[in-house]
Amino acid sequence: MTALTLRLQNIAAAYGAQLVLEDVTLDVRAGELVALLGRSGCGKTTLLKIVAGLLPPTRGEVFFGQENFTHVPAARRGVGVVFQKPLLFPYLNVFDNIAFGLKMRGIAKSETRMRVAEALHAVQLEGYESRRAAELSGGQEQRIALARALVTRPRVLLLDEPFSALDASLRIEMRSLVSRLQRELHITTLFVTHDQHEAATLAARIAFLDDGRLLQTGAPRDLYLTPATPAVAHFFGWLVIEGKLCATQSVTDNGIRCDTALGRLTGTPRSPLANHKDESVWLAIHPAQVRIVTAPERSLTDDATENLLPATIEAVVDFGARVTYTVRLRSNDLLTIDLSRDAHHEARTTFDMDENICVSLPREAVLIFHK
Amino acid sequence: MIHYSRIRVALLLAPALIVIGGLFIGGLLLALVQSLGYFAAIGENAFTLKHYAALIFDKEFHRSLFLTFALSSIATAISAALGLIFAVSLRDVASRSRFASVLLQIPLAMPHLVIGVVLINLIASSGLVARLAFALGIINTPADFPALTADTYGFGIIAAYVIKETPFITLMTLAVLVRTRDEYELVARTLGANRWQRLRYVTLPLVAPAAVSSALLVFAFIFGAFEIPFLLGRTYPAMLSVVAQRRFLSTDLSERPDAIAVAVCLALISSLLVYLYMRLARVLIRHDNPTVFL
Repeated sequence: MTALTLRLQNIAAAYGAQLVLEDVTLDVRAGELVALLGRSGCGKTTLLKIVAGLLPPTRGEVFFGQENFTHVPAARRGVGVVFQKPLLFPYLNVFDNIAFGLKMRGIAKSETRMRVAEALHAVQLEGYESRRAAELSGGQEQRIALARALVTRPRVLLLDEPFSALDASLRIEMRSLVSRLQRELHITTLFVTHDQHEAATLAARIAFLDDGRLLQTGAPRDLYLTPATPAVAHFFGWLVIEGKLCATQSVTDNGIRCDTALGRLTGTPRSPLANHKDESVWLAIHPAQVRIVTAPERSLTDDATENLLPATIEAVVDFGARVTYTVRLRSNDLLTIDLSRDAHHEARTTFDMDENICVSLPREAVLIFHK
Repeated sequence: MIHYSRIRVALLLAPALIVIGGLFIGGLLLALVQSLGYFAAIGENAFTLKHYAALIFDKEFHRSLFLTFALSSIATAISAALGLIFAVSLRDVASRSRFASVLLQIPLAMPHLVIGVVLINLIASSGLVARLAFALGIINTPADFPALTADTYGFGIIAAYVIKETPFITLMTLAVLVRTRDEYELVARTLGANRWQRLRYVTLPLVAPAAVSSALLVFAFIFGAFEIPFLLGRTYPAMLSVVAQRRFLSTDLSERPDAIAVAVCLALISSLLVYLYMRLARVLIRHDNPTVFL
């Protein structure tokens, strides 16, 4: 089947009076894999079910290519779905499980045999035809579920957190398998996950969903480095705090000063801010750009010292190539700072538990958002 | 440590085990001994298989065995079919409505004897339906009403068991359906299965183990049950349990070993069915089948 663009236009969905999706518009280009990322309960699976035809939207439309599929029943959409659980039919063996979709479509037995063999080869499980689900490992079951979805040559492939029940090494293996198959088959794919690492590994584009709204779509790097909203920033590990624009505001070098529970911070506005003093704003601090410095190096009372915050080392986890420090800020907020061994060499120092230090935040590491 | 704890458990259970063992196993052994010819009351003191051998040529036994098999099979098949149909069609209602599930459980709590008496009052030629038909002028006299109890085809017996056992199979099947069907149906829908195909290739295979195992239990029960055939069946041929009871209570004590031989045959066949049920259950557990019902 030729790859088609999947277009979701202004999708809304509700369970009773509770709105779970609000005006979601998303394009997945032909042959592209987009990761739909968000916390549990944010509406990811609901959106996937709408695409699969398992749930009708309360508003909005679903297009496969130019064709409107909003009201086409699931059985006739030609969509392949792999769910969180493999859900292999327990009363069928592997061959019959994979052949199920072909049987429902009345495909001839000879072609079925050929396509099942191809699918088993694709998921590297040749020779498993006569096994039952109970005789397979978790990873093998999920591979068979993937083969069952692919064997029908679907217009669109939907993956709903398919690796979440697998252990770490299997997840890596399955990611690589899905990535390879998706590229080889050039199949338009929507991959639902709550794991940012998984999303970034698999997808060139991530769509971030929060509380039923699509907040940002873009390359993983964009979401990670320039989050569009405090919610995106928070999800990607930024520390989000409240602040107020300083009364004695002066904009210099695109930096804006704010008063926060951590002290006075200078940051970069995410979008142009009207310079109203005392306006409440959100500040997001990016731990990856934070540096640790020893406390006595600089005077904390010096006004010229920008974005230098006193803190205490709360925990140290030494992974060898990198060290993760958890530091407690004056506001009692915790910040996890991951430093590579190189960074240590640069700093020519290591830090101990309970040591009083300072964290230094470059302006770019502090984003300011409208409230 | 384990050794002592086992002894302690055995000692704690001893009073109950002695009563059960004495009354049940003792009674069973005594019956077995009598069926094997040792019955001092009538002067038989030698062990023999003649009472079992006699059954081979006993025409009443043959007809009763056939009737017992036939009625048990028909009642089980109808109950299983209706149970499946009810479970599939009531599934959505039952999972949402507590009232519906309670309603389904009412016949389960009713003793077989009550069902038998209710049916006699309803469908016997002197029953409510016959009188109603007579009052409405459908029949000329209540006696014109077709014999539905103590009849040639065992209609009353079948009806009683269908009324009693259908809810049992429905509930057993429903329990599996409510737990598993939704997810597999979603998968089947995405794989292109229409409503009929989902019923044929998903719902029925999912509930089959539960339906088959509960049907086996129902069959084994009906096969050996006494009250309903005694109340609603004919005197000849009667179901095996009634034959055994009649011979046992005969004033001619020499019939008693024959009666026990009939009862032992009944028990053996029922045990075989229970054994088959256990085998089926074990196979399903080995396959880690989520639909298994025990």
